[in-house]
Amino acid sequence: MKRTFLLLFMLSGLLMAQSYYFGRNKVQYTRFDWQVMKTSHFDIYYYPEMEDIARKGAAFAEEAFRELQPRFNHYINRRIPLIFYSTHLHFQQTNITPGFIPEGVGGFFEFIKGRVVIPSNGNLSKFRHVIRHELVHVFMHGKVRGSLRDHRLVDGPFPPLWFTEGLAEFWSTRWDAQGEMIIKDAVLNNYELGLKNIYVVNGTFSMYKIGQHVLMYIRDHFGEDKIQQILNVLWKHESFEDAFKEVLGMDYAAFDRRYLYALKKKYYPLMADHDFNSQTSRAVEETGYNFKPVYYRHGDDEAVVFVGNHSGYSSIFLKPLNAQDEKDAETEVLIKGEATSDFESFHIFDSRISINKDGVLAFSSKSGGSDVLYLYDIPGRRVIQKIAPDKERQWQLVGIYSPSWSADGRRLVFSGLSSLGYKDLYLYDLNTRVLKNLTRDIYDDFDPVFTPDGRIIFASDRGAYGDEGYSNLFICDSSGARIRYLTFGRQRDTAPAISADGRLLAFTSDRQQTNNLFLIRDPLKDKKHELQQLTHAIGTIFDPAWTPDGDLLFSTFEGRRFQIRLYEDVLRKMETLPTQSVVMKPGRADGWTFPGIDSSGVQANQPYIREYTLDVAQSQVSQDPIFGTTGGAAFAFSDIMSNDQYTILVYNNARTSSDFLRSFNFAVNHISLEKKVNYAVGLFRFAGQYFNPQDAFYFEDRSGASFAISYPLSQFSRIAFSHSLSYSDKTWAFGRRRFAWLNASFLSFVHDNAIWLPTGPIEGWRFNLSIGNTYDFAFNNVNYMTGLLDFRYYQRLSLRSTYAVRVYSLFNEGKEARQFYFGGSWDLRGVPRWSLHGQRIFLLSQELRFPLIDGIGINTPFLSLGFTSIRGALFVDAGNAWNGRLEKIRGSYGFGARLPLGFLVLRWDIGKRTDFRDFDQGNFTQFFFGWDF
Amino acid sequence: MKYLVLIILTLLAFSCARPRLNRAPAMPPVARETPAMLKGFSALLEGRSLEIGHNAIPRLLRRDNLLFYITLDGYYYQVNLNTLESEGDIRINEGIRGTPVMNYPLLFFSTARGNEGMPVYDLKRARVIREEALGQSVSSMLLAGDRLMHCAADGRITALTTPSLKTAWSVELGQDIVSDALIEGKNLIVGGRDGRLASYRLRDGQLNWSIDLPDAFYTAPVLSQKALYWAAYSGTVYRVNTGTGEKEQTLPGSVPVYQSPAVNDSLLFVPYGDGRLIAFSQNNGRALWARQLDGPFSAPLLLTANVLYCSQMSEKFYILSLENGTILHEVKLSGRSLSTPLQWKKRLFLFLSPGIIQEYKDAQ
Repeated sequence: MKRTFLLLFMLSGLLMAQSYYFGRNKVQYTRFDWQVMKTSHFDIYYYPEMEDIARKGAAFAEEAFRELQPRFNHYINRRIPLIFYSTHLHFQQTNITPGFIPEGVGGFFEFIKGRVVIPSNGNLSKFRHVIRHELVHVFMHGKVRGSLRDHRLVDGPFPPLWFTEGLAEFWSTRWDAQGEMIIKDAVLNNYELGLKNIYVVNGTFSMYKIGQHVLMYIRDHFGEDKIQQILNVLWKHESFEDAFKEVLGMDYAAFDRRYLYALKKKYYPLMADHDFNSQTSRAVEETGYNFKPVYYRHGDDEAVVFVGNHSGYSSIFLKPLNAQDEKDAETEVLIKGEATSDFESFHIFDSRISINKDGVLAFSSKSGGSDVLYLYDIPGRRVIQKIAPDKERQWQLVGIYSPSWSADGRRLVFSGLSSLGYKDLYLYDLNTRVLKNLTRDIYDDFDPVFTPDGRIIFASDRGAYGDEGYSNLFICDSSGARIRYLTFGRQRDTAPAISADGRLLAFTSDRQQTNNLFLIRDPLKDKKHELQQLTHAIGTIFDPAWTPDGDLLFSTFEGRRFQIRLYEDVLRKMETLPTQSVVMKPGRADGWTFPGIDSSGVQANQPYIREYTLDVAQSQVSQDPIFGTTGGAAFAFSDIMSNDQYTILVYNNARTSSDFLRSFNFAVNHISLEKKVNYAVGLFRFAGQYFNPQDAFYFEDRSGASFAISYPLSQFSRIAFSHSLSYSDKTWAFGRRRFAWLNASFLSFVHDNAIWLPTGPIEGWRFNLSIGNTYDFAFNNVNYMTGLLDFRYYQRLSLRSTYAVRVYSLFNEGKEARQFYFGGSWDLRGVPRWSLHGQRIFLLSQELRFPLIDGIGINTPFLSLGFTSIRGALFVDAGNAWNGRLEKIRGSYGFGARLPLGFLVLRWDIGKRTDFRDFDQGNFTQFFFGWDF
Repeated sequence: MKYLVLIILTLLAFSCARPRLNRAPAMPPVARETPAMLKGFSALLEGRSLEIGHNAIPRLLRRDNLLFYITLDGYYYQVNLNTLESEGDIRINEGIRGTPVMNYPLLFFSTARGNEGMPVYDLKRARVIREEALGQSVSSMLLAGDRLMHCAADGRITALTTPSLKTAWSVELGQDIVSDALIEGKNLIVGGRDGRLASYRLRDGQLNWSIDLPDAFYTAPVLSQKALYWAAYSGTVYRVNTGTGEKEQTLPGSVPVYQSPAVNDSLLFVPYGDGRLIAFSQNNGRALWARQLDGPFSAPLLLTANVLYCSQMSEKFYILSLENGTILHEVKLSGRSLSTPLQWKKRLFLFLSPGIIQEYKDAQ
């Protein structure tokens, strides 16, 4: 019980992720001056730079609220906190969720306080989409919980993720090329998923789109009302599928038979006049996820450089195009990302890369609180310049996307996302180091490329249909002036790539619901342009890039993989392709705007005042045959931003009423996560009976104050310092009593850049070095030093196997130094858990981790069970705990299996003990729930 | 001797039975008042309240001063409206949606969740005395003459004879039934969720007519003197001839309708899911006035001779003038009003979430 409370307290009270033993840091690089805007139904939190986009977001939110309430037949009777960030990089700093936010997350709804947190990413249509998406969650959550409350049910089934996310998509956006990409690929590559098997893609983007598509099917074949009706009757049922069955008259299996058949009827005919890219183009890279290819030539060697993820870390790769043998054809990692503070993220979905004629690669990467431009000399394999192009402005340039070289290699054009929340074109002159803002408006300008004559072609939603989420291609002068259309229409035209001679422009367009390659001849001539559709592909095509021979590199999603492929002989194929003219509708080409919220009835620019509300409340009473009855509670409060947190722990382990005050325990902590430097201050009193093998039973009353501070050096490493001052009154069972005024200080350095599989880390390294001193400055009854070293290194041997080594040492030295406990599955295997103790500990663990069974299923007439990703390990451990002199080293070796069970991992080890002279008779077996070290 | 044992056992059985609900006094059936004939309030003055703790079904039943407060989670409370005190409660089943029907001293419940039966509650004996296996239902029971009508959610319509409770006839609508049926003369009119409207002869279940409308319906059809109106999920309101089943008129709409419209002699009031209320002329279908209220409607409308009571999910409660839709009174309630308001003896009762009966008086 005591441990439970202490654990709770430590988990909630310390500096969240930053104060865990290992773990990366969520660094607050930016100070936000939060303001509040109160609209009819929302409290909108924003910062002054982004007021304009916050007003637009407020209008989107009220619009969505009006539309969703009749759809759900529900009303949210509370003010909804809506927290806006102007960029995704700012959004990633939020403390509202303690976890790290990946790039693909466009926003989230937090259930405890009902907060909705959304970044703008420079595109107003997407911003509106995400606001609507998250508000669907708010309404659905309110509807389901409200229905349970109305029927006085404490708990009941909640819709599964495919339904919640599918509905959020369905009621927030139209079916688009991305959705089509997922469904079409699944059907025509024979892995289509119905509701019975949707768990296979649970939580993925595919699940969102399959969910959306299923709901579209229900709308078309059963009526949209049925969706709302499922939520209405959910309270009556034990499971969501029962409600589904009541409303639609069929269970998942029967539904799947109809739905999957309909998918085949729809998509199979495509095979008559569409092709897989694998049949019409040459494979360049099929391993892992690959995007944004560019051509590179060095002497006679040709290669493609691209961004991708092959092993868990996003990196920039180089792949030879015309290798003579298999060894030469191996893909090389040029720059490894996500492992160091310089290259935290390459924005692999959003940011293109560019190579100039000298072989200098320009790319952007997150580094600290914003993106920076890197110039990388490919022949020399080194970074030659790191450019943070914008330091002096009032508004900060936070995101940098798709840098592109000018023909002379002296200038770079890129798409920049500022703290205003809008994405514009920027030009950076490497000679003068001057950054010029070419476009400055509300439109999303992206994928810019220099033309050979020094102009800029880019994609943008500034076109006639941009407010509906569509984009066209535009051309402008290098000053950003004279913007004119290259393409026009209700489609998404993206990723322009112009040939070196400027005579051909390739781009992708979803004119037929799937991204295909299109061409424009002579795009730089001031005449009416003509289009040619180069591909009729089944797989979706992205990011074309020309080779000097007139072939096109591109990335494609096909067969569940993002591959790099080469489309050859484009010029010859063009000759036979039909052409169509780019026609502009008169009067539609003058742009658009989204109005901000009507100022009447809106209170804006109110300073944010911290108000604390409850996050967690938990109580517990337990009985222990030795320690008696213990009862207590833990509470956590925080403000709306979760920057300031208070944790309170109270419990009592008195055995008689007269003992109540003597055994009253409490701890109060205040934690501040608002700034880069996090700190915590607290008061505590812990009093009660304790036991350890060294002291046996004793009573200790310890009261004092604590302070902790953590300074992140980067996302991966930090320095932490903690200090406490306390009074200790300790009485041993045999009668001895001592008093002490304890002054304890600890200093730690922590590093962690490991990436994980479900059972444990597979690559990277983790390090914790801590030293501390505890002494009694009044009576000198206590005085000891503490040291800790924990180093874990993971050398990847293949995609799914690794060699892991751990060096672990602890020492306490001095008067009344604490004992450490040691042994068991967590550290020294083969030894009973915590059976060893001493003031010194040493451990060396080595483990070879490898995949054992990828999937296993057990089907019985009553129950079906499936397990995946079962992994094996060979291990050797050596270590001991001791006082005084180390007399022997204990050890073990053996084999283990690890079975992931959701959040837990079941570990089973079998082996032999040894002291490295003899081996024990027989084997030991240990089971344990926990991850590999 | 055996008679003595029998008498003792009978006495023991009665003495051991401890119904939680008081037995009802002898109570002759009271003619149902027509709310539309009452003069409504134009402003409210808050009075007493009673906390039940359980949310009420959409339409409650009253006889004289006794309110039969039925809850969504299957409880039945008997509330004295004079004293505004509960006289006891009993759990009937795990969920009720439809209004029970009374054939004194029996109350017939439909069951939305928990069992497949129609529990019959005896007010004199204060206990459920019987249960008929008729399937789950979310619509109200109906009584016409000696015919007791039950519409199961799966579409089965059953007519029982009272008091024997023998099945007189049973038919399948062919669609789920999620709203209340109605009695029109000697006929039963039932609407299905997916647009089938059918009229059956109460006597023998003979189908008079049926029509399939291209819409989904979550509201009950309502009857005016001139025709039947049925509001669809799409927002369209259909006018159907009750004699022939022919569609006579369509009032287009684009927002779902979840609460049934209200009708008086000349007007049709349609509560749309976005909080708009539109009054249409029954003569020509023209919109006479429209009023935007705050949030979707949370309970059926109550129409009086001069005003309309509107309950919203935003916890707002409005009193509107029938004449032009002017908001005469607007109040923010302490909870969401979930049932049709009840006006009785110059008092108005609102049934608020989470189970509060709030009394109001006319402030004028």
